[in-house]
Amino acid sequence: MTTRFLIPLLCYTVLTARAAGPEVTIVTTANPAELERFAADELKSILETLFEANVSVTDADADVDVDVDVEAPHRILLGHPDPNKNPGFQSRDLHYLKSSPGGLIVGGASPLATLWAVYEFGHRHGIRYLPTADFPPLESPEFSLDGFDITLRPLAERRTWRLLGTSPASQAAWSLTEYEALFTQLVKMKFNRVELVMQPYQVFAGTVATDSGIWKGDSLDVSGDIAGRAVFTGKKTFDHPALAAAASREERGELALAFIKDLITAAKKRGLTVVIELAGADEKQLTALGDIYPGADFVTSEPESPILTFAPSGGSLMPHHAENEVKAKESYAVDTPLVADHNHQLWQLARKAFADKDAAGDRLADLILPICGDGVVEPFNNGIAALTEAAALIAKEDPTFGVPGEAGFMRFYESADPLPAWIAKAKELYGKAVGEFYRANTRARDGARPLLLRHAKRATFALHYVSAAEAARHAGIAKAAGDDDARIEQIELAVEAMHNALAIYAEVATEPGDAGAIALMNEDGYRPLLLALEE
Amino acid sequence: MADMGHCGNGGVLIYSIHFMTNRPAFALVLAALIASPAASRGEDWPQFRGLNGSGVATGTDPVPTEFSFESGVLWKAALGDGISSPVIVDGKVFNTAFVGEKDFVIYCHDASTGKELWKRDLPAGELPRITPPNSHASSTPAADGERVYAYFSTLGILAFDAVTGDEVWRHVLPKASYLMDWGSGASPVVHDSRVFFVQDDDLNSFVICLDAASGKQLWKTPRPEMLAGYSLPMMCEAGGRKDLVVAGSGKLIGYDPATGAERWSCASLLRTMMTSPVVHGDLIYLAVQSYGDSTRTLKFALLEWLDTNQDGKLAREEMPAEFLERFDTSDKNSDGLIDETEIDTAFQHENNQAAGGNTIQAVRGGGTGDVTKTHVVWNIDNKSPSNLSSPLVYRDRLHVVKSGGVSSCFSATDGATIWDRTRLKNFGDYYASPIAADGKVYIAGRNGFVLVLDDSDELAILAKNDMGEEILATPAIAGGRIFIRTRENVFCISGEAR
Repeated sequence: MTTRFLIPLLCYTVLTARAAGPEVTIVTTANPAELERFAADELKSILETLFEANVSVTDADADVDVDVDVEAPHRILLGHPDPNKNPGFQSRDLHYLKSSPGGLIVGGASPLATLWAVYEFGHRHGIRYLPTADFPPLESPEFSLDGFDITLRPLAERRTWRLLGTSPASQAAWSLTEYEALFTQLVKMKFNRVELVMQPYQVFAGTVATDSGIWKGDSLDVSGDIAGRAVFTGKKTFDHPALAAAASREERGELALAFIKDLITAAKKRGLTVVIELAGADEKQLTALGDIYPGADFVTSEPESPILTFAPSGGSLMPHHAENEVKAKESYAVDTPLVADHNHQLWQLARKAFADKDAAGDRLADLILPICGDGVVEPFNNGIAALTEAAALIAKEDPTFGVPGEAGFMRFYESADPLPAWIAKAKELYGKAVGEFYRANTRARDGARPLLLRHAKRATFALHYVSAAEAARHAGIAKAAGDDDARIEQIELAVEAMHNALAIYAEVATEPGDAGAIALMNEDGYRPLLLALEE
Repeated sequence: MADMGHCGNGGVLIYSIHFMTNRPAFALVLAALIASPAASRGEDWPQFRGLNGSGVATGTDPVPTEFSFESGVLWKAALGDGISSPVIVDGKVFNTAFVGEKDFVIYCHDASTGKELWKRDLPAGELPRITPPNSHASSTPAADGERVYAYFSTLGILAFDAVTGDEVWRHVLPKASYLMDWGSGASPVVHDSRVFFVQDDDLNSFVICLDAASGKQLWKTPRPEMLAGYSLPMMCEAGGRKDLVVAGSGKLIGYDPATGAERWSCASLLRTMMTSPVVHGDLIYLAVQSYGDSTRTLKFALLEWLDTNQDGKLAREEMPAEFLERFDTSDKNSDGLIDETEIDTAFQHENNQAAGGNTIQAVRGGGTGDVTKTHVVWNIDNKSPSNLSSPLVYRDRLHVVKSGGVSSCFSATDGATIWDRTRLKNFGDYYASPIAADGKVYIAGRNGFVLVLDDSDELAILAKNDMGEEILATPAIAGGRIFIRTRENVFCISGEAR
């Protein structure tokens, strides 16, 4: 390695309180870019967390050269060399970890790629970066800066995350704060683009708008007797947080526009390229859109990359997993309304987007083992397999199952036909998933339990939801037979099951889309069932 | 008959109600209460479910029937996460919370105004695992006018000066271990200048008695036959003496409150005892649903939760380390596995292998030795009890409510059914226990609605009141005010509210 790093005389030095771990010096390049300073801070934080290291950060000065061949243990050289002097860098996304006598080189072909190299360092020491959170390893790894020779080149050049959505049960319900947290995680997972997906009817899309909100439709009534109400923290309506204070329709529109502009600023701040997509827009509309949002890098009328959808088709709110969706293509754009349901798959996708000669380690076991410990991988995989089978069964038999709306829940009550056999099979699969995820959760004991509980309770939600559908159909059959006592008894069971479904979902509701899903399912199932009880 | 030493002068008369066994006597005391100026706003609710854990308020002030988070609220205070109940003594309301994912907090508010009188933050340290919706602030404090006593899982029992909030003493207890990570939930009680606390866990269960003034241990009695449970200790006056009565796995046990010596036991209970009994006269009423049934006990749950490789056996390596000793005891053939022949009674004491199921029963106090065959007055085996919500005995009727909003009512005299498993049309879980006052029964659902039933022989729902937030804590009633602890706040509901 011939790259030369410049060491500072004393530009700035950050010293931490003395800890029990090793003394480590991080040396950045001269005049580091803002992202590189941030990368240094992130690396310092990782070293302190994992190794209780005493870390000092110095940035380079042009007056002093550092030869990486001169021995200097516990030194990390951080930065991106001038690409003009390194023609081998075919991609600005390339990043690497290389041990040298002069220290560990944590570098990238751009400031953002340098930051990715830092997170690769964290990953190689057991930290797992997921869209919703970081999970540290259960056991602290041994400190060593030796033995690294990793160069990561992107297999997928455009790694895009699609923002917004049209349903309250999606990212359309997220606040700026939640998006800022997401952008931080996306960088850790080496995404390089975000795409704001707009619809012509949306007030911020610069065309003829019919809606005044972020998602399609109005705020949702969550007052009174609703199930899973804990997620609404006492509020009477579920609305986008950026719009909740608006006094008029016009003001909602203005706030929505401001919200989108803030989103763009936040994404750019994290080094992400920002694309705005307005489906079917003509040249004139795209130009107008670019004028409204000068912070965006591109505007387009169609997706730049193939879309990878992490959700059941048709908007079903059942938990979902589809094994074949995580193949990293040349470029991709991730569309996932309920992010926490797909944490593990999105992590796999991110790992598949790069490869080095040692392979990146993208199996679920590579995710679960470091953060959950022994004995968890097998039940977790079993649970995922059961969910996958259930999702495939529903997709084949009735893709509208679990979709709030026109063909919503009350169809089960409004018919006297026997339920199809596949419903019982789906219930059995969800039951199996519940058992497996709880076993995994019990076994994990510490660490990434929230990750496991999310799946356990989402599967339990599905189990109760199917039970509610079964009871509602039995009520419908009793109604057709004129047996009102049996109808009431079955409706009560349906209400109870639906209540339990949404209450347990609420226990693991971690993102606003979850609250939106619960609000929708109250409208679609719980409240109509209560009305049916009063018939 | 009355517990003269328990409370201030208002409490002397009030407390006596709980040991009256017939309606004429009750009426006399009620008349005395009406005449007593101390019987109004000075009424106390000094521990979980009030005086002796009865769940019955004893004041004469009218208690609101209709209210909500928007109406009838005299005051409201933000507390932080918690499912512990408020307690009220001498016009002060005490609450606990777990705040910022790191601190236990105990609050004292003025009961009339909601003004915060004092607050103490206590760093929690390394917290044990718990299973939601449990909270690290799940234990209800107890108060006696001089001090307030609170239990926190990592700290033990602490006493604070009721007026200043200064910490008076701290008694460290062994940390509880729960095989299925339920977490702590037991509450202390104070009686005759003594603090009693039962820590039934899955490893080293015991009941302890501390001097209320100094925190010094007066006695500690192991309960080796017990598994995890949360039952509140009760005082029962019967046969001319007072017993500290504790319900646990399979057994109701009466202890000498002065020494901790076991006086009697009644092996009529079920495996897991999360509900608390209530004492009415010399009868102890229990209602509980315990996981499993009479033959399968915990087998299903153990395999469901702990059998990682699903081979139908529990292997030693599938056990959390702290339970290995108990595992080895259960592994009778020492083959490193708890198999089909061993699992039904795994982790249970060899002398106490109670099964699951349902029971509502009345046991007469004051016995000696094994009273199983002599003191069970009546026993019902139906599916009406809850595993979490305790029974209420109010004016000779025993009320239970369970998940789904299913209400049942029985005669406290003979267990005769008044109504059985009738829907309250308020669905969801019920963690809070019913309480009563002013001729009404108050039932708080986890969904945040508080149902008010008329105290009558027919189920009559007077009101369904929306508190807007999840409720797991049993509300408290004192001086005509209802104190409702939601997951994050405490509301004081009163007719005084404008």
